[in-house]
Amino acid sequence: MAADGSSLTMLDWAAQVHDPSCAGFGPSGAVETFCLPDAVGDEVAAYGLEARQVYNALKRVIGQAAGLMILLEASNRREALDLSSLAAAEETFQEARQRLGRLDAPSRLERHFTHLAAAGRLVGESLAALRAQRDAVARPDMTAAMQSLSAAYRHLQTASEDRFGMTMVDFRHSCCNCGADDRRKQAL
Amino acid sequence: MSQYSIWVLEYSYVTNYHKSGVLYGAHNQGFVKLPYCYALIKGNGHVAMVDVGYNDKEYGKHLGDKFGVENWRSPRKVLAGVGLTPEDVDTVFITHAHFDHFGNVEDFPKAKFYIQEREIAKWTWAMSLPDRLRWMMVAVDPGDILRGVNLAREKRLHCIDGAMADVLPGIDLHVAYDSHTFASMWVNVRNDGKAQSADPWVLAGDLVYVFENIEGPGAVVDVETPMYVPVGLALGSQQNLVMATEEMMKQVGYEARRVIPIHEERLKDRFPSRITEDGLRISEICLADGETSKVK
Repeated sequence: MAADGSSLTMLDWAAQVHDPSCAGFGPSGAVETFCLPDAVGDEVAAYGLEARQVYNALKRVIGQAAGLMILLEASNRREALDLSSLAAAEETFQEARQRLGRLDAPSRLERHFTHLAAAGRLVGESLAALRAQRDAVARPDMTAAMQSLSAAYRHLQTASEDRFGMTMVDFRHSCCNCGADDRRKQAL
Repeated sequence: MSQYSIWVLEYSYVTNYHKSGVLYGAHNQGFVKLPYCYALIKGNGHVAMVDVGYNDKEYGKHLGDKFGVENWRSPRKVLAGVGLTPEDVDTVFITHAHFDHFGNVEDFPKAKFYIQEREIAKWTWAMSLPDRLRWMMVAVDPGDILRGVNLAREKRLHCIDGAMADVLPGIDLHVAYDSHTFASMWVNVRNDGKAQSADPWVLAGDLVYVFENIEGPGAVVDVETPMYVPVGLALGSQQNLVMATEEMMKQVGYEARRVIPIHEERLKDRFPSRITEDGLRISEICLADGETSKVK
């Protein structure tokens, strides 16, 4: 898709609200920070647009898996793990994994790819842990699934890059968003 | 006899916000200030919050630059304005899962949280949908859901299904399905503790942003009397927002000032208030018997 006005706008909506080191994800791991180079060439742009697909898919799977775990833990809904959502999460994950396998990261973006790959691996581990607990006789233990998922979020957050639409929160119709462009124009 | 004090605490704001965002159909009518607030309820031995705002930390500058969000202050700073700390908070009602309402749970280490089960279940469902339907996923941070899992594992997150009476003595939770979000809650404080309260206060969450959502101009449909005009942002339907507004108004005997919008800059015109040293407003909605004013 050509980088027309609408796609540029699309790259401009979002922001992140939580640091990967946020205590809410448990003890901080050793996740190095990463910054995309300021000058974005064709090679980087091509990688970024493809990586965005992986990023967004993993973000959604993390949200899905976390939501299922909340329903299980807070509502004691054992059937949460039987929902078609788990199958849907796995399907989305498999697609993301295949895209990840095809990603060709420029050398200067290897660290970005490393974070993305780590997030993918950890999401896979979390889903496997969830699958294992689905058939547990006793009350499902979410410890392993949660640890992997939290670590995956850290890596994905570190790989966030709003210039390519890789952001944890889509603000387009949240409270703060409306008129962001107009405000900028007014300020000029 | 009033059992609870209620304050609306501003923690950030957007100076110029499209009026059409707060009022359905108000296109090309300029900008209004949009305060970001949460409500605090104190009494009967409890300190409760309605929503917790969002966590600024490293990304506040980004939000400020891109979206004009200014002057964010932490709950510790904001609650100090009414002589409390985040550790004093024992109960939090999360009206919905948007980042600016559910995005800072870790700052309240001793609180029990309440949210609608359907709010979580439907977000989870929405995240399973194809990318072309991602409009339904906006404004939710998967990280907030992850933190919710931690709360649930600590037995501090309670997912409820529908309305809940007396979640604290005299405080009820109500839900508007498929309105602003999949299951947005509002909180009714029956301040005299009676089932048919003569002193009710409704904390509307994002179901009502500003006064005009309740007392909107009727002239647009050739009606002289005010009418409900829903907020501009609805994941569900504006119809459901209007019907929720009717239910809220019914609970307060159709006395509009008793429905408290938390994105309303003009609360200061109806209630005593003050600006803190950080430039944020505290609005004092009501005081429990024996409580001292925090705005004088």
